[in-house]
Amino acid sequence: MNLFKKITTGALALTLSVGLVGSAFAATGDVAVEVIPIANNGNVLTVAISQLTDLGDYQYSLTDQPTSPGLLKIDAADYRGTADGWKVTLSGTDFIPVLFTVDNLGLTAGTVRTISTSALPSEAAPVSSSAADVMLAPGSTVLTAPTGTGAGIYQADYQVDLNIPGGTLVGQYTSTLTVTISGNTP
Amino acid sequence: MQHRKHILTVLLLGMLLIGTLVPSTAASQTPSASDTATPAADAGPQFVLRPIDGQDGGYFTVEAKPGTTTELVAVLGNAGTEPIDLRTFSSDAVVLVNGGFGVKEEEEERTGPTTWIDWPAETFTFEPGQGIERSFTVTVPEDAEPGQYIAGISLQTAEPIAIEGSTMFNQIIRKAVAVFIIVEGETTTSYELGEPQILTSTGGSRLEVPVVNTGDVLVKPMGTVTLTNADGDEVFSADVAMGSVYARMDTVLAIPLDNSLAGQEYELSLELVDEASGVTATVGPQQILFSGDIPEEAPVQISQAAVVPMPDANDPVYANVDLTIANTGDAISNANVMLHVYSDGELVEDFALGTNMNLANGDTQISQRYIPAEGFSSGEWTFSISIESMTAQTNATTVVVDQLLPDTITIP
Repeated sequence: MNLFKKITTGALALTLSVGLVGSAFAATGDVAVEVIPIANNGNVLTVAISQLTDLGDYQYSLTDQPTSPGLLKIDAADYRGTADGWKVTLSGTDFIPVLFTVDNLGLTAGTVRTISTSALPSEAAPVSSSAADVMLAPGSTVLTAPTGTGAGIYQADYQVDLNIPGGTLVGQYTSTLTVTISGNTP
Repeated sequence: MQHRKHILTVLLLGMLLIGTLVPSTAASQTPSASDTATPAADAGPQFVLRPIDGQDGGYFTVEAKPGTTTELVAVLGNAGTEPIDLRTFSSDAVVLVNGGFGVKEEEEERTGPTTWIDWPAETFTFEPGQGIERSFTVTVPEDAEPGQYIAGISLQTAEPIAIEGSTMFNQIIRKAVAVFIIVEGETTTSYELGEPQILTSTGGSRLEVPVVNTGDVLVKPMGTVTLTNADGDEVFSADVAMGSVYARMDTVLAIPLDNSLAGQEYELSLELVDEASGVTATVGPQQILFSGDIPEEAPVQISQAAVVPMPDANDPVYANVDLTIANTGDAISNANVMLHVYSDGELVEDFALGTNMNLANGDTQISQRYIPAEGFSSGEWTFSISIESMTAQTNATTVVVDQLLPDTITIP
């Protein structure tokens, strides 16, 4: 990947986004709004969960069952070219169809890899499992790039542990994780 | 005696700065690996949410008087290569655990400053390279008190998307920015700490202390927390640096604790200061119970140790130190083995017998010659060994062994 090209493109995109306002219209939502160009990767922060290994199948049990550890990967990228820092937070919904809380999900911080020469972002303290009622709801910071770091592409690994509460009925359970990235904050 | 000591640095947030949007040069961006396997590329959709005069992910700032309306402009768009449906909404801000900006979900009630923001929730379909400028207003009520207020604007995937490898989880990808409103007038900086508690779990326990901002402006408390056992030994110490705790909002300070400390009552002392204002808050010293079973015998022990004065026991020049470290548990990496030397009970020096060692399951032998920096002098010389392991990601150092050695050197 040619990062020089990306940075140059990002700068050009900023110029264009200011200069071409009003050049086109499109119906979006319920109102007509002006469409402006946004360059691919132009000065943008991105984040995504790129992988989460399956935690397996388990027999019905009247006692709590810890699952085998899973691997969760979060990718974050900062193409803004300013190294002004960013942070990634993670939250989750309770499991359905029969509610058991997302607090039964625990994350343990692992390694962070990068192809950037900028200093590695720091990982937040591991999110603990169980008794973690304040951790994934409303959310916890899982990856932080302080000011002066974080330019480029990063991937962080986390070990995922899930405790299946005793008496959880037979079924296939799902949860939606929300991964959020923010740039500078007050 | 060198007491067992846990040192943890809680590194939290702290990203202030409204940067001017000046792209950097390529010189600092030469791709290179800084760890093992490197990611080939980032994943997921790429979309933009920013103030029109700011950079992606940056926040809006409004300085206004009560009863006034300010118009702002945001840029939203698709920076990826595929069409995408994106949902945007405003919601209340929350303070994350240990401080920092977070946002509530769209379906949660909008209160306070969020209701001052005219940002209708809406779903857009963007083609690659398309975006919009969206104007909105912030109207400060006539009766708004002076001080800082904060709310959030989010842009996220309109529907959950799949996570590779998982049928159990899907994901919403969100970008959240703050709307930071400053109402003119005199302000007060103050915050309080609530009743601490230790929450236990098998994976790792933690100390939680409620932090309530009772003032009009944000604070970033930082300081030190210590736990002292019944013998007066400081068994845990951590530097704390919280992210922003916003005005009129609250959160908890959460500090991981090693379960090896469970089963005892400790004296807790927490002292925090907001550097910008100098306002302090403290907890204790007060007793706190770390409930739970006393852990079984530690997996790492000094099974054999000898400190032999040489060449003459009455007039030694150096001492031969021989250790056998027995590890019945998992391998420990990044371990530092320290010899602590005392003369008549006073610490003389800490001497490294090994640094960044890998203590595999089984026995590890260490043989070192120790020469005091100032030489041996008359008195009773005693020794202890500590083994610390460091977790790179959290900068946490845990003492896994702190053991007094039986050998004593008495010099007339």
